Amino acid sequence: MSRNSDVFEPIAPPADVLCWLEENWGIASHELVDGYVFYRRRGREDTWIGPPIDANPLPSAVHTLGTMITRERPPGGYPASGFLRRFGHLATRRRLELEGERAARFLAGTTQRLDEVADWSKGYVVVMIDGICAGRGLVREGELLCEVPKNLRLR
Amino acid sequence: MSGPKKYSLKIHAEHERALERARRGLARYQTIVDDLDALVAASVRPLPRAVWINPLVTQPQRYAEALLAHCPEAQPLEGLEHAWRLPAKTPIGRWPEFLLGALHAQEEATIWPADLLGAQPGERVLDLCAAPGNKTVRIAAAMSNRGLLVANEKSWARLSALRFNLERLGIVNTVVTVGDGCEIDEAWGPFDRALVDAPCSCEGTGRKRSGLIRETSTHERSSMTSLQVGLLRRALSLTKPGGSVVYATCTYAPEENEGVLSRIAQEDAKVLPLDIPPHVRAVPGVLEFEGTRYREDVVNAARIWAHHNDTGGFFVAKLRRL
Repeated sequence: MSRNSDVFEPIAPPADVLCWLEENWGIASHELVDGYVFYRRRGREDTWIGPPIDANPLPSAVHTLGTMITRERPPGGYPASGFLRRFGHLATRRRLELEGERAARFLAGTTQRLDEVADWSKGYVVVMIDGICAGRGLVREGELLCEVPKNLRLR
Repeated sequence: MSGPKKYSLKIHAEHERALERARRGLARYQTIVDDLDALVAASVRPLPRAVWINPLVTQPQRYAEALLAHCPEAQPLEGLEHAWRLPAKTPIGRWPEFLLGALHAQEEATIWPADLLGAQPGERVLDLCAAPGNKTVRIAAAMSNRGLLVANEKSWARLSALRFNLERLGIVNTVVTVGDGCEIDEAWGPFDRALVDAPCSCEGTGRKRSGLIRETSTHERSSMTSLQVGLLRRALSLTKPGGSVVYATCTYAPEENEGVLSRIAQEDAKVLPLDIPPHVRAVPGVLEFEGTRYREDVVNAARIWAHHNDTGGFFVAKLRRL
């Protein structure tokens, strides 16, 4: 039996989430709207992006649907890692390209001081490595912190 | 006796025991395999690993070069684009390219059966027994992350591996559902294609466990078979007429393969001839085993014995829903 909070419902493209992605990271909303549908779990504040499903209400027993964009309503929260894996490469702002030693340190979860973020305000950034979005970083006082899930870090 | 010699004798004794176990588990296939000794010997050899580059990433050549730098012994897999065979136990999970989702490791024998499904971008596809998701991500990548892929898994414990693979490779077109595949909600259908990679006695995956092939009791085999038939019938009933269903297992047992296909009514589905890549050595399904005769079109299915391609064992059939 599903709890209410596990019931996914399709929603219209959420303007607050799309503006937040575009304003903060320059992720163009037309890239997200094309071919995908947005969902929210009943009684929750999260937003998901996934495939179109022609059934209303959605069939039962859904565990996850596409990938979560964010767990909270903007301006709170942060872009989820799974979302950035697929769409992070579209970011044009607060985006860092790392390679070599710096990329290895980030993937290992090590906090590092980077000259190029010295004057960036505190907040989440999209980290690209070898042309792929590695996930989310947090810039704070000239340092880059890794927020990639632990099971995707170098050990 | 000197240390190294004593050690090598111990390894030899362990190898002999593994061979004996594999022989006991596989002896029942004496009548349907060309060379039982070769099968037994192959079943205790460590399994080479296979990797492919995620087609959803740009610049595949860049990751191919990185892969060859990590593992110069990598051999390209014939007939597949951007796929390689690597020595057993290559630590792929520690490579940055794996963590970034540019590479995926999958048992070689199971790569082309997933491709046989022929899923296309924009279609509705069902993967009825999805975890840990190796075939799921292969199918989603073939669909270019478009359309709808419903990946069902009964076991909550196995869902994390499925989610890990989907997120790592950046898959978005997939809905993960949890429940008994035999009772999956019909509102998900109708599908263009479905994959039933059924739970089985796993005799073909013994190479991952140093040749350990568990003997399966008659009772266990019969309940396994009922489940497999239930899953295949459900997948067929949710597939559009004219659509395809791929049935696969990693066991050699005809009861769980040709026997399951034979319990599908002739008017419901037809077993189609397979387009087997020229470099893959596969043999046709068997028409009879231990006195049981199977439907005629099971010869269109493919059996992959471990010693033929130096892979795991596998069985695959493609059915057209009538």
